[in-house]
Amino acid sequence: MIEKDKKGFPIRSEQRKNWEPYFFLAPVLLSMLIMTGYPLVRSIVMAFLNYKLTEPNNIYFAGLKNFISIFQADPHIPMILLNTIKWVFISVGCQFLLGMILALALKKPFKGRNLYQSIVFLPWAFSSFAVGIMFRWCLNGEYGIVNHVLMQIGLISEKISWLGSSDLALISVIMAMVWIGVPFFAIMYLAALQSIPSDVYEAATIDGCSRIKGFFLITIPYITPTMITTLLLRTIWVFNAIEMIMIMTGGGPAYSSETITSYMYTKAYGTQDFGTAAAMGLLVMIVLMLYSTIFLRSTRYEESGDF
Amino acid sequence: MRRATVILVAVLMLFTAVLSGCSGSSGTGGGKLKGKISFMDVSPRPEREQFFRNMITEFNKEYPDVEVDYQTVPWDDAATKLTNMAAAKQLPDVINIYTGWIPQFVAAEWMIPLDTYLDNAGIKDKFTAFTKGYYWAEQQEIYGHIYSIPDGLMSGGIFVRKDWMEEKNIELSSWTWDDYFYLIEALTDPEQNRYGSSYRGARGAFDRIREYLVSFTEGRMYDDEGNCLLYSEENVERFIKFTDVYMKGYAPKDAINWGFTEMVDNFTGGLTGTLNNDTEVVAICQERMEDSQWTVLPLPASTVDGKTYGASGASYGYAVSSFSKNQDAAWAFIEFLSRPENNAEYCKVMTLIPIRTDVENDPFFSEEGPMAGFLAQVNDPNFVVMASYGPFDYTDLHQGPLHAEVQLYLQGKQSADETLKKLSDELASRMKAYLKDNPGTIPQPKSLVSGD
Repeated sequence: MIEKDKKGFPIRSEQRKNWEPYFFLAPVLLSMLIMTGYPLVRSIVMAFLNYKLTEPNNIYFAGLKNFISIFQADPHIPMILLNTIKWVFISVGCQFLLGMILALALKKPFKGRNLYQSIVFLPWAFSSFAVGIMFRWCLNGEYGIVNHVLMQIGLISEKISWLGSSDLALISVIMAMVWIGVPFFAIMYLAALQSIPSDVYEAATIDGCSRIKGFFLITIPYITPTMITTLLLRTIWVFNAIEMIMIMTGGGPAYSSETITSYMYTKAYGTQDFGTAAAMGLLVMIVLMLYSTIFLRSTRYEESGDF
Repeated sequence: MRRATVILVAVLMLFTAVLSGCSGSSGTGGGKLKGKISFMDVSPRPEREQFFRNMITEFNKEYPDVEVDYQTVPWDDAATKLTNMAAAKQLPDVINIYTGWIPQFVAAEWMIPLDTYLDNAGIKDKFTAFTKGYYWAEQQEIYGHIYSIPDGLMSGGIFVRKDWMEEKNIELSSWTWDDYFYLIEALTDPEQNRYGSSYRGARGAFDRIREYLVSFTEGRMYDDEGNCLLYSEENVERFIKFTDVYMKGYAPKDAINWGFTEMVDNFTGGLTGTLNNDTEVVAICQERMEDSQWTVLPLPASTVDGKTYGASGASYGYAVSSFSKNQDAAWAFIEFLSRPENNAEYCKVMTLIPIRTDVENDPFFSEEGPMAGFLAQVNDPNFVVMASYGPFDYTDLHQGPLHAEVQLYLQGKQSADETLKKLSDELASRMKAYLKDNPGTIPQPKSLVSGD
């Protein structure tokens, strides 16, 4: 006989109650397992295999060979690691600073603010591919607008090969990356700034607080959760971004604008060495997980309040 | 009665079997072939796409039950895409294969031998000496079978701004590599923003340097033990001489990143005065430039023996994928594309030299036609096709180190000696490893005329 409650509904057994959440979560868990879990496990396995697409009959367990070859056999890795650090820190740093300045400039209302705001936020809406092509043309050594303008205003006397020089190629791609990424920070910080109650500033002014002090003692603490989240997200995105590099320089000349993730792509799809590429991918994943953990702990994200 | 029925059934079965055998691999089975096949073009451009679409329409008149799915992939991504498709056993039925990929595709068993199809079709003798004596002979020598049908013969040449030469009153009494370097220097004019060379700095950069270096090794790449002949004290000096075209400013600094598209665009666009490239560029020059502006010279001759060493071979080949479920129809499509009238039309569109003897009298391919210079070159007994990099898989080298190492030198990051030694050592190590399992497979230079 089925046990019923006061209203006459059947009482569910404990066993059924325990399974119910899993039943409803199953579709999501299953799709995550297929879309994320399987590729992840597969790439971890691949990192320990000799797996070249060009040698389908020569796939075998290679132990740590792929990891060793990354650090011992490849002479370009030190430069590529240094490039990666420059790429992430300069890109994110400049985007953060310029985004913050832009947000502060747009905080107070002024005539035409909405129009101005839409224009400066526009780069974020463009595809990286289109921006890469645009910058490649602008920085063309012979016909590019950048050289033309710099020569017209007398800043340079000879054409600069922005993308053809190993000293400038990476910085040129970083410029494009900064241009496309500034609006993200600006949008996020503007939203956070606008949520700070104005009476806090009024009270502080009455107490004799200067604007600079107000910025550091009121503004920054209020927007800290936003800053932590945006910096964390953007660092991971920039770290993994390769499209701008591939479109503008292809990682060249001579690997000078290659980052670890673009090099991973080159290894996988250029030389078809999926084993080494997977080993690089695994290392990148570990580095990013460590970075996220250390970053969140050092910034005391849990204590910084709600976003 | 029962016995008679059995005999009748047996006769019918035999008859059916014979009929199905006839329609099998001869490629002339017409409407008997059925199903869908895919064909991937690895070098799409509007005229080419139009040609293939027309061909498919014509093919369907003869084979109405065979549906051809025409697919394209940009050349720069083609090697990667095909390799990935092959790894997933999803290769198109008909592959447009580049000669450099053949070692990899054969080793991986991604293509089927076409010998039986060719024999059954009875058309083998209708192909030119190049196809039989060089292209197929090499495949049979190395792999034991014929794996692809060439689409057309292409050969290298030096495209030159004729009008610039006239402006500067440049006349060439001979045409050796030294004359070539002189011409590049003479055509460079910074005041007019003109550079002498569309220098190749990206993928394929070392192919051009190799052309010059092998003119000192009689077209050979390796000695009998597999040691690479490109590295020597003298060749380091020659490497410096060749790369001085870039280092001394006879090419734009951006050329370090130039591949095929940028080289051609800057030549036809009026920035550079010479372009070392293949027959297929004729069509592009015809379309974009006035006839009075450009001409094509053969590849420069060696300063040692007066012979011309260069790359020459099929633009691409047509091959049947081993994963194809409709190999007979795939072959039928290849056979159709290779017919004299279709091959002639293709070669006109792509400005290539035909692979069928039946079309050699076409005025387009005569001495007065736009292909005259190339035809003269490939028919010249002094023209030698330099030895290939090797029968081993070198796709990964071609995708990266071969040009990246040269770029390191051009950027002053390593010496010429170091660059050439690194590349030679890597090639030698691969050649020796291949020789261990396949003795006697050192690639040799060959004459297209004699086949020797």
